[in-house]
Amino acid sequence: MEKLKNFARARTLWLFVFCFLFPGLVRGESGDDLFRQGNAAYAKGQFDAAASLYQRAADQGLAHWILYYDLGNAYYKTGSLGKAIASYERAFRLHSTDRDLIYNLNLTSTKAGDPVLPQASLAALCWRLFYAFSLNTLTVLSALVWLALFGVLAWALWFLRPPPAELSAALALGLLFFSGWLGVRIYLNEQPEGVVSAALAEVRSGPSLSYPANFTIPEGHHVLILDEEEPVTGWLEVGVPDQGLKGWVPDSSIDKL
Amino acid sequence: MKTGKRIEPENRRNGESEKHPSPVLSVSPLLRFPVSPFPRFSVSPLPRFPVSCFSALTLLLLGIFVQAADFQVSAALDRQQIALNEQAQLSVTISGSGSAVPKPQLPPLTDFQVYSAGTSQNFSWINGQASASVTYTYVLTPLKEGHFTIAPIRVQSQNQSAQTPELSLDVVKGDAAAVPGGSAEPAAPAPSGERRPAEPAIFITATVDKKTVYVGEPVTFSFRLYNRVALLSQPSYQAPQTAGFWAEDLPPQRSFTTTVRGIPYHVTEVRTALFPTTPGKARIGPAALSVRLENLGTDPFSNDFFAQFFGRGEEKTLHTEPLSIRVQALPEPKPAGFKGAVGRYALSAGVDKDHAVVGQPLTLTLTVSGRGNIKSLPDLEVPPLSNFRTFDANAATNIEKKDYQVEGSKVFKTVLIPTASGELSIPSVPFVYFDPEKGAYQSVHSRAFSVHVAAAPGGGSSASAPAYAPPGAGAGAPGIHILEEDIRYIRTPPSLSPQGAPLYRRLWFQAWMACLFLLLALGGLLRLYQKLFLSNTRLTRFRGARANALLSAQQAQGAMERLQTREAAGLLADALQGYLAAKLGADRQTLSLKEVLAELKAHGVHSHDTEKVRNLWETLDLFQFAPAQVRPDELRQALRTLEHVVDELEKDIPWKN
Repeated sequence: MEKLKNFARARTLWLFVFCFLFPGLVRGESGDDLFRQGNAAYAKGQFDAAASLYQRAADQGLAHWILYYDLGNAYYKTGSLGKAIASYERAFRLHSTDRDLIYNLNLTSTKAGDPVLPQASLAALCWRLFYAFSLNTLTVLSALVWLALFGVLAWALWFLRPPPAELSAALALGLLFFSGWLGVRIYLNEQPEGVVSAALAEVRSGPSLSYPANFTIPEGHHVLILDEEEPVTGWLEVGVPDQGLKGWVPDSSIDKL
Repeated sequence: MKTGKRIEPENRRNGESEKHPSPVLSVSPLLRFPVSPFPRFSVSPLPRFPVSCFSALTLLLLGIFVQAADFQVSAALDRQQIALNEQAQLSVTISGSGSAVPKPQLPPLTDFQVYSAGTSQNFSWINGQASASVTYTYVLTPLKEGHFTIAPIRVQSQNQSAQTPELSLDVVKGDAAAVPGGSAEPAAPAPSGERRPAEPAIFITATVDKKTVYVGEPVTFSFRLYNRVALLSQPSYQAPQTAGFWAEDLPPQRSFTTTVRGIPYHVTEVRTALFPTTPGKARIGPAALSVRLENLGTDPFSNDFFAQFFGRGEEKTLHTEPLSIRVQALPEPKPAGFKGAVGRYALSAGVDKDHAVVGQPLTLTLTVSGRGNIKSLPDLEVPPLSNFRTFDANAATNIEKKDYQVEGSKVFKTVLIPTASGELSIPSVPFVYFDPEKGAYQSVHSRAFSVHVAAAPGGGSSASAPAYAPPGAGAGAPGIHILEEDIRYIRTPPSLSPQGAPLYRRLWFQAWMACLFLLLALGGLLRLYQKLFLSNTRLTRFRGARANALLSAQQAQGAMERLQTREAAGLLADALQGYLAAKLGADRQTLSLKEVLAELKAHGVHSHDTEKVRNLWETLDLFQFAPAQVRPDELRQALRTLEHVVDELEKDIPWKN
């Protein structure tokens, strides 16, 4: 009996050692594996399976704009416009300069009746310029301008001489411009937004089905998720700023960005 | 409700109407009921006419072929005892050989209401000898209880007469169950407007097969006419009001015989399928039937042939009781894609060709078949198809009503025009319905198809294809046709790693930027310090005088150790003179011993310290000009003296602004 117990203990110990030495053999599929499998399924036209695999990869923490872009494509092919737009938006927040991404996002949101790109050509040009740099690129540009200005100021301090006026003014204006641009981009990026993923979201005056539905929002439209002083489980308070409307919807009908 | 539609009898639907004419008369524009009260007439191969007319013709025929001869008469009651609410059947049979058969003469029957229930006849020709037999059937409805005797029934011919023996009938109080030999069948409802409570000559009923249904689930409404007397006219049926239902007639009209409390009835049944459209309590109004029936009164056996033939009778209108149905709403939540179909269905699909050319149309046929309200089935929606233009062609409805159930199919045809070549797929189409028998939503899918589409000759869309100009197309270069807008393809890098948070959210970036701020702030503070504390050079020299002097003395000591006497002497002299210039705020280049002594005196330095300074100054001058004569111990002594003098003067010379 004692031998058997010793054998069981030894087996458990070896199992732990094995798991420690070869973690890759005991863990499940990685997000990267799921991403590749999703690509294969998409190529075969198995869009439901592709969407499921991409979603599992995203749930495992593989946050990359290409993954969200592909996930949006898969959702689009399965007819889920709301989920597709939400995925494209996530990709856009990470990488706003990809033309294919902008094209797909605009095509899908236009089909949903809430186009992202302005219709007027001048406004569309401004929109494209505004998002011409990714957020990281804009951050680096702002930092570089700040560094240049810092260098000039440090030089002036070190040598106890007044900095060149033109250079200082240009750098100061540049810093103001890029900092303002970056600030607005960060503000927009940090907006608590969501996309209607249900076929039709009924917005009620309170967080319960007993409250009347005041208005409806179709699938694929963007909503602002408002701060909830007293959050209600299963419900979200949302607003449509350009319409001046707000109300409560079941959280299952909103895909939070 | 489609009450204007004529419902054909079953034998006419089966193509038997020409061989065996129906006993139905076309009187009512609504519905037709047989005039004959009993089914035995319907088995006759003869053309069907009103009973009285038929009997008269039979007798006429008998009169033609059979001369007067002997005849016998007999009478019988089907029961000897009946209840007050029951009826007795009296049969009078007259048979004769080769002679005309006369008609019986009933005695007055004041205690009964008498209806003629028809006549049956039998004619045979054996060995050249004709014989005939006619049976007259009457229904006796007692008006009161008691023991009654039916007097002999006489039959009178030209030169012969015959009569039956007396018959007796007991009428007791109570219902059928109390009478021995009474039937146990369900009681017939009392007809409207009639005085007697049960077993009337004619009555109608209205029933439904279900009292609780879901919205869209069919309810079978059955209207029955029970009759056992001759009808003089075609009954007129008025269907009930069925607000809140979608109605569908269920042909054929059914005729059969049944017994109610032992009384045979001829039943004619009309069925209607009702599909409730809204939840709640639905009401089926009363159905009505107008009929003219033969009422012989107290002399039902009159020999007035013409009176019977031309329709002497009583007009009656009967009504059924209204019915109520509880209609349940369909369960919530309704699944996606459900558009209101209720029943049990299957979905099939087909494509007319699996090879096509760009621009040439294909036809996708989707067929929903099953049991339910086919007419109200919602249209099927073909999902958006890549590389196809779709046109909904038509939807055809085929309804069958087998076994009194509405079933059939609805066929949706969609024309697909390929806009690109390749192996194109047509995905499956879903159809969601509610099955009331299971009480659950069901979903069926058509099968998917793959169509090989070849490029049109000349490339692009074919010339026969309809013009297609999507937005933005046509303005480009000639030969380029935008066929369809679709999303761009996925990106497929070999591997992905998490992109991480944006740069502005990362800690190292924030720390780096913070360091730059700190450096700039420190630089500013340093500059401020310099501005405040390091701008007075005289003071700076004054404060750093001793340190500089000791530094030079240290260097001189190094030179001594290297036996560089002249250099060591020069360093010591520089140390002394530099120290004194810094302390006294004088220019070192032009500083002389005389000025030094005067300044020291002015600063209040003790005279012996002043003397030490003068001696050291002169000694070091001597060492510089005659280094060869200087011994090392003299240099070391000068160094110690210098350190001593510096220490003393550090105390004696305060800072003066």
